[in-house]
Amino acid sequence: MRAYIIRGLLQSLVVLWIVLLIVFLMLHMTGDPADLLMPEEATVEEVAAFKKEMRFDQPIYVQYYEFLLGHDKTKGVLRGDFGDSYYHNVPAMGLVTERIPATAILAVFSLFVGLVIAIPTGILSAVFRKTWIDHFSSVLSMAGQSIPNFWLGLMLIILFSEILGWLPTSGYREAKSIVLPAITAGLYATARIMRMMRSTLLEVMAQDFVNTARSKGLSEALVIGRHALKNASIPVVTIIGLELGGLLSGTVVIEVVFAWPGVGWLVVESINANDYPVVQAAVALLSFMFVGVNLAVDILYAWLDPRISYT
Amino acid sequence: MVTDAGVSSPHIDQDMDERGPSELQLALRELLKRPPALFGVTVIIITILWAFFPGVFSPHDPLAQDLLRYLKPPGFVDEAGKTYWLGTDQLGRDIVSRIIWGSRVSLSVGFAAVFVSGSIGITMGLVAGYFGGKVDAVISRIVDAVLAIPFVLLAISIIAILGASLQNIVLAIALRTWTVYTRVVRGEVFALKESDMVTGAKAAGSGTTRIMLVYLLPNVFSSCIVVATIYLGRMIIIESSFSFLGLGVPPPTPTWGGMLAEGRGFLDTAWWLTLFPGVALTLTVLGVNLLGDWLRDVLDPRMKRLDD
Repeated sequence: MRAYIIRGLLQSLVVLWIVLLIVFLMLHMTGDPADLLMPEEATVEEVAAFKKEMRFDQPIYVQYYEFLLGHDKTKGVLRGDFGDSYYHNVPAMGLVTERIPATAILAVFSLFVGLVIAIPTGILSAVFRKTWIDHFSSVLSMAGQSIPNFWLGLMLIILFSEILGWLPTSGYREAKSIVLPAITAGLYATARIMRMMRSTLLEVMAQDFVNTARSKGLSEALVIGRHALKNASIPVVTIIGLELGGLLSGTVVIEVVFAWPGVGWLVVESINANDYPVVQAAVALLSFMFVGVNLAVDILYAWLDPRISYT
Repeated sequence: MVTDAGVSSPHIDQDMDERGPSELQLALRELLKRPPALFGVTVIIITILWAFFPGVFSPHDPLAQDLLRYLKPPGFVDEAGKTYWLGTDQLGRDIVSRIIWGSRVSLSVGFAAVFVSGSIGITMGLVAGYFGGKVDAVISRIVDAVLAIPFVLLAISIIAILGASLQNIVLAIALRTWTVYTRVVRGEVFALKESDMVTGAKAAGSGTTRIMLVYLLPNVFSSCIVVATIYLGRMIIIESSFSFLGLGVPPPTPTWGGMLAEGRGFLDTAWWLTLFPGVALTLTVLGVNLLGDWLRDVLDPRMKRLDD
């Protein structure tokens, strides 16, 4: 088990290093970062001074070293310092961390919406396979895959905010303003969790121990509730974890639609303002969370399932 | 076209008795038995026709602005007697025409992304599966690493820096999706390379490249078609969300995502700006997904074995 965890940790570190490398290279992708960052009307002298100040005149390996550790050995991304926002003149990482709660709240509520719909529908469609419930859930999952979630969000705004006037179109202050974004993001996760629930439960229900439970005279509800569901829970827990990771880093468009002040919206704002330190800090931090959640899911999976080999 | 071949004349039926139906005829017969798949194919054909001949189908110039007819509701008729069936946008441009022209970007990004990621992914999968061992370990680790990167965020940042253009969007999407093909192909090649067919080909002196291209590729192709179809829908959604965020093909080129972004400012007054492009987008993706579902049933070797 320990070796398994260590291997997972090492792999996560490699992934994070790759992400940081991409984040570093971002500004160099088009060639000269000064061209990207300075306004077009800047004079040659201004550009030169800017390059010197930002240390873009240094060789790339020096820049990379300073990116990681800072040039006076007190800063650098390994200490969580991505430099100051060009636009707000405060540390970029601070701007990102203050948006994390909004993103996290939205992710948790969306997951909750997804689970409330997906788990019962998934169970029912496995138990009543090939009945109208099963057909209904497959239509639901096809719709979930085909409707772009940001458009669904816009339609929900038209219906519930503009026409019915029940819910606010956007914002963060009121408790009910989370309803529409959470439903929009949650329905997206629903289809996958539901299908996983259904297929795993079907697989488990075809196994011998379920028949044994039936043959000793247990009611169908007990067979499913006590025996089948317990065994079907492991893959479902895994996919729930993965969905949470995806929601934490993937609700960018939904945050924009609902003006939800999370990290995703901050990234889009910062991209539009050419505020690259903030973009870099946000990508790095969300990657860190995403990789962390995935690692936790892996470990949880190994821990829950005694059959998995740790070698 | 589809119905003609499917219903088929008695003359063709006689031919079939002698030679047996061709694969295409079989496929079309199957298609007629599955209304959802038939719907999917119809939608896709219409969208492809739109994308190839937008000028033929669109009633107006998609870029022609006229502030005298801005934000007119669906069914609006102007002084010259021209009808704007789905209304006009904030610059007076015809929504129908913009939807028809917008299919071009959606489909070209979708197909290009599928093609690029498929080419990379299938090659990597063939190599990993055929050579196994260290080569496979390296490729599999790369796949794991790519899948562990939060994709949307990174893709958005890359497009923001490289600039929003068709190539960069395709590149950003393909950077991740090749891994899906690699996983599928690798698994299948693992099974295939021990088969009599491949050992026989080796014994007969076929080189590695020849084995891959002549013996392995055709056998993994049907799974790849299924994956490609399923992913085509996702690519179209991703392209539209990039366009929605202002990171797609830049205006004035009409894109469905871009139209939704513009319509977002008029949710309270002009719902038609956001409703119709989204319907076009959803129907296209739904069509592709329904086709993919059907292809999976028809082409997936495991399902086929069950039928036999």
